[in-house]
Amino acid sequence: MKTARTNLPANFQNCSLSISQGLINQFADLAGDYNPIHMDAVFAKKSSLGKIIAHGSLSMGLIWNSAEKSLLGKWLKGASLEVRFRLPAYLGDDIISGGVLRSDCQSYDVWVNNQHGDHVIKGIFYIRSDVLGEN
Amino acid sequence: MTSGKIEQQSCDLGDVERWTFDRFISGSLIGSTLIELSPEMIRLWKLIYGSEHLKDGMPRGLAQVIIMSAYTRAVKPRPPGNLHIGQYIKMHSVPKVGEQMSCEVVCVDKFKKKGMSIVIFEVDVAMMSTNALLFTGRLTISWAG
Repeated sequence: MKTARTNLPANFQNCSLSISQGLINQFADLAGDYNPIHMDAVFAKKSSLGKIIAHGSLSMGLIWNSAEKSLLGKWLKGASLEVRFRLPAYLGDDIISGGVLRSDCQSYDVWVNNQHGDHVIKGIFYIRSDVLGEN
Repeated sequence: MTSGKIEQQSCDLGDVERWTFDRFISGSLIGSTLIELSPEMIRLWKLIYGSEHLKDGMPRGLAQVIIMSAYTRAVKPRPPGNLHIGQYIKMHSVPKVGEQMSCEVVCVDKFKKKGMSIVIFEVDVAMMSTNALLFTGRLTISWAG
């Protein structure tokens, strides 16, 4: 469904990932972030979180993926994304991203949820107002 | 992937002493580094997230990876157990594959809140060749030490 005012889709397409150690390791190689909270089960067990968690940026990447899938490269010029990491995504979790167009018709409420429906990430994806007319 | 000279400037300070909350000074430049948008980065991104919907060039989400990479290179050594609790990214433009990017990491604020030691970093990523700003990131980190 498209909105009449801007032709933006009303919803972002969902994207999902299953958090495996292999996936975390790939993301660590990509980002160069080998924090033991992501890599070392013994360290993670002793931490306040109790077990291995995925990088926050790994989960956040799903939102960008949803945005790119939904907006097909349009409206991304000058876009911005602001998020809070609400819960860790633990090893073994299944996470899914989504978004809903807000009433201003130029930004989306976005999130990443875990398999329990809890928010792992919550935020707002902004589209620059002056590019709305270009698409 | 990095310029030895600029990366060395970051390492000189970081390798000597681990970054603690007390050492950060609001408004101070922490370090600079160069990152190249390599085909390998794009390959890994597509391996993790899929590629069927992506056009040629940089997936937009790689901006946050580049910002995180700049942060992890410039702010080191870090205490184990830091938690990334918030992030803001503003896209200005997208680099081409093979483009060198100049990344500057600044500590913009630090404070204590609800028993946590919070440090906020801003990362500006610019095209090396023209100095044009590509993207800006702001990372909120709960500092462990």
